[in-house]
Amino acid sequence: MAGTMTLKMLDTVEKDRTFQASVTVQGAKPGSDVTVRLEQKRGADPLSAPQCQVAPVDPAGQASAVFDVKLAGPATAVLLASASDPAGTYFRPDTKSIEVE
Amino acid sequence: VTRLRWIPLLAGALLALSAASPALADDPHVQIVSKSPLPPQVGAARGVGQFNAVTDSEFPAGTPFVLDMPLPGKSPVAAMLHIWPNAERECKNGAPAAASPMRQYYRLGMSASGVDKDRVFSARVPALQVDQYFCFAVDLSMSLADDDFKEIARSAADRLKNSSQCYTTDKSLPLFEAALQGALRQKGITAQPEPAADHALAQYRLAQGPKKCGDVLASDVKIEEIGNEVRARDAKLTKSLAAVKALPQPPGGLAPVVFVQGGLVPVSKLLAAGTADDTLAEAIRQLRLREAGGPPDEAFPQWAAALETFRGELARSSAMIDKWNAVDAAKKAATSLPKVPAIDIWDDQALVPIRDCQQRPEAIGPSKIVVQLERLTPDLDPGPRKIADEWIRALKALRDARETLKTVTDDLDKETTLLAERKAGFQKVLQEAWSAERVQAALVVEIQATDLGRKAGFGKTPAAANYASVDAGVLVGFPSGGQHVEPWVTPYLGFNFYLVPVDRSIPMGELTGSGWGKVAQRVAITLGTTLIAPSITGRTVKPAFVPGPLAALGVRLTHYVRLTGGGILYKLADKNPASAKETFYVAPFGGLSADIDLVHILTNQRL
Repeated sequence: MAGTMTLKMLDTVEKDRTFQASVTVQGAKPGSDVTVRLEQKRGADPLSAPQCQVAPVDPAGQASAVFDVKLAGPATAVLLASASDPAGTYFRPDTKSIEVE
Repeated sequence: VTRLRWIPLLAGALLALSAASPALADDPHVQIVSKSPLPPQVGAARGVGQFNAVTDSEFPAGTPFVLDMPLPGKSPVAAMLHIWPNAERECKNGAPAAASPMRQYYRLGMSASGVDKDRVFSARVPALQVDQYFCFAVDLSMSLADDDFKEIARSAADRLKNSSQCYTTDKSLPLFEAALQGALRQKGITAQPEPAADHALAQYRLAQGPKKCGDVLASDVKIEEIGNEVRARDAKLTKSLAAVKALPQPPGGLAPVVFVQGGLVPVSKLLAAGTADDTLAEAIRQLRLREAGGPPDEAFPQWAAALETFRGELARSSAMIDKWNAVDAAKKAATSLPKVPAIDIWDDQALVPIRDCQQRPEAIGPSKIVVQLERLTPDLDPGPRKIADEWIRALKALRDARETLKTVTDDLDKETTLLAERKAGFQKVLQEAWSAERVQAALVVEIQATDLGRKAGFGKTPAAANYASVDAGVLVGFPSGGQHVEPWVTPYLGFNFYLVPVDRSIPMGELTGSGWGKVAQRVAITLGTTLIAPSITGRTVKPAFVPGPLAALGVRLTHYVRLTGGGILYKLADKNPASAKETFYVAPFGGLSADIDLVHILTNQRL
């Protein structure tokens, strides 16, 4: 059984200013924990360091995590959200581009 | 009347001369030589009034000629030649306005011949007037058609489609410029790309280009990530498959199994009074089939025979007690029947040894095997059940690995399709940015200004024409000295003397130059004589050297016909015959003559 992920954040942000990105995981095993990871894959150097959070999965199989992110710019950046659990479930990753002004 | 017989002959000669037309031998060629290499450096040839070209020879006079301008290259160029007379040698102004009434001002399109390094633009220039200064200019412009613009836009967009930065920074303009330069170079055009590239970049940003580009990058990253997942899941599948193949011992040690009632059942369980006859028949059929097609094993024929016996006993027993007796007998006999070391799996058509499924689990599918094993497990003894559980775990891991790999692969396919759509969208934005009207307008201006410019220069036609000509005509004189002035018609011959070389190729109405120059082209002094001496009633006319010397001033009406007016000198003897006195008289006259430039006529006749 595969899980899905949804990454949400603004379309445009100011460079070097902190903003929040939220990641929702669906289809995880209820009662377990998932490790949610947010990573910057494209954009201006220096790229933001990867962040991880362990989120509990609710009875509906959903977990969520919110990350504080700061990006260099100006550039078009791309963030990648991924997740893993001890059972090795496949969580479909999500990516979003963001304009850093 | 006999004295006037010459008149038709003279008229015929005049008409013949008037009809004589200039020759059209092979047109001479004159070549424009650029002072700066072609194409010129940026700005080298901007503006009107800069003269940056010369000709390899002077313009011919009085004859059409071909003006050639070499312009190597492939760029789609249109060339317009302007050539116009100038009062002085140096040209200081640009070409007259298109609607200018200036005489001998020609605007001519130039046609291209040859290709690449041999390309030459040419125009056939009508005859120019002798002894005149002329300026010339060639306006060059790119004749870019809609298809050319589309090709340039597509090519420039292609060069920008693989971006990792999405052109959001100040460093993007050089990238756009380089893309345009590359696209133009592909068409053989060199031009300053900045204004057009600047407009295209602005248009790209206005049309959400960076967002479209960002979507492409996001898809790229996702595909990269999913690709990694595919590789990881593929490795996991390989590992799971290896684990199934490595299972040391299959579940076995029991009677052969058959697939009846929706699952695997040991045939020993069918030795019951309630077993339906068709179930027994199917079990026997599977065992016989297995005996015939599978690896040799004594258990299958023996269990098949036992089932057949049991089935016959049941059929013969009508009372329940008899059936029970038959069951007891069958079970007792079964205790001595051989067990199978490994069970079989049902592949929807026949029983297959589980060892075969172990080596190729995908032939039946791990899920089906798991379902059959799970159905069988409660009927097993603890030892074989433990082994079956191990098989179930390994096969479930293999099934999950296969299903997950398929899910991930499907995701990769979907994202790859999405990436293609996003790339197409991004390229469309780029192409639309390059196709903007403002971009194309800037492109045209830059190409004209920097790639080609205007070639301009000046030259002079030679004074290769005659100052003098033969004049032959008829005049009406009014000699005095008699009792009355009697009109006198007579042919005459003479020479015309002009103050300038006379152009006989340019239509009279097209003659150019200064006011004096135009007058001098028409007016000449004539010296000649009548062919016969005048006669005056009652007086004796004495010849003065020749029959009737005359001097006149004439104006050409056409190249070869002129009006003349002047005086004829003659002498009259005194009225007294005894007197030797002679008196000079001048008779005024007017005439019509043929202005015969024999040299021009003879050298310009059609051969």
